[in-house]
Amino acid sequence: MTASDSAIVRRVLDGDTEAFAILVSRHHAACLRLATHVLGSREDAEDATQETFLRAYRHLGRYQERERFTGWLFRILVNQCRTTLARRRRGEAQLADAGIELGSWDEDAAEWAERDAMLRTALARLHPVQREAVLLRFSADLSYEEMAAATGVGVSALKMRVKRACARMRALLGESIHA
Amino acid sequence: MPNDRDELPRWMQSALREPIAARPDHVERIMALVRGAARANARRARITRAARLRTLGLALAASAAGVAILASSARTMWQSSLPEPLEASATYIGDSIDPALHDTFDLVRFALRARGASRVVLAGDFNAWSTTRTPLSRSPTPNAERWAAVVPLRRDDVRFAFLVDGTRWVSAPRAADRPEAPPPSAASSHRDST
Repeated sequence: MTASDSAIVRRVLDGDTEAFAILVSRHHAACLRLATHVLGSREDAEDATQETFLRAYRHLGRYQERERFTGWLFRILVNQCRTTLARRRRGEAQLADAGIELGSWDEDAAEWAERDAMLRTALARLHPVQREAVLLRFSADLSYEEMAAATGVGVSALKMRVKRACARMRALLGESIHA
Repeated sequence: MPNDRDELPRWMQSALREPIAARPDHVERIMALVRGAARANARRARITRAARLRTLGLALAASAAGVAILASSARTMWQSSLPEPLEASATYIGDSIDPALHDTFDLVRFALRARGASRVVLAGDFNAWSTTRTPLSRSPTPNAERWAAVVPLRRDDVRFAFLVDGTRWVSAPRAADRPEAPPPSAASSHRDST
């Protein structure tokens, strides 16, 4: 029988540091996937994922078993991604002030399959809060309650964001397809 | 609200769930960082525990000192609340002849250690048990608690006692080596054999 995340957390808190590897292996792929889609950079996503697990370990004592570990972990990841994006915006502003042009978010889209590139382009054009919501829903596969725990936004607002993001993506992809 | 799974085309949902290839050692790198954090936590815990033990030791030492002081104070207070043990003595120091009375007296030095007393008198048959006529003198420091008086006594003056601060009667020692004297009823003088 597979031990629950909460049981693993208790083992770690009792001093079994190596048990944390179980949590990492369980959630690493979903975290990296979400971070990659949110940040649009695998390198940044790896850094964000790494920092997320490290922070999770350091603050594991604050995890309350009444909430799902996934929601708690993704709250850290979402905050980490937001921090990365904010830092990037500040950096871009500084580079722009210095007269340096940056490539677009989907600059390396050629490496992807055409359909995936279109998807990435569509994601890149979403408002950040809509992108975050739609990725938590469809990439991380969180429930709305877990999304609320991860983002601090109410369930109704999140549903609305997902709905609008989906409509926007369909429109964007339709434009691309018919362009 | 309709199922939001229908809001996004299936292929998009599948694409969003496709695994992202990470560096092969990514998980191991994360765990290396976690182990480093665990070691740092353990170091901090050891330091904190040592600091707590030091604090606890200091607190215990302070508590022990406090308890000792309290115990000492309590003992002092308890002792001070008890009547001071009084050392009384009556020493024969010689004879005296009263030419007017043509009588011989024993000169007896009466002494009493009475800490904190403000007045000590000697009363007995020799002065009709007066509580004012035969006061003792206080010795100069450092023996300020000692009171003394030399009193001429007839051989039949065998009953006397000290009165401390007008309230406390203290017997003088027995005169064990005065066989000619009748047994005292209250107190007796002690005649030096020398």
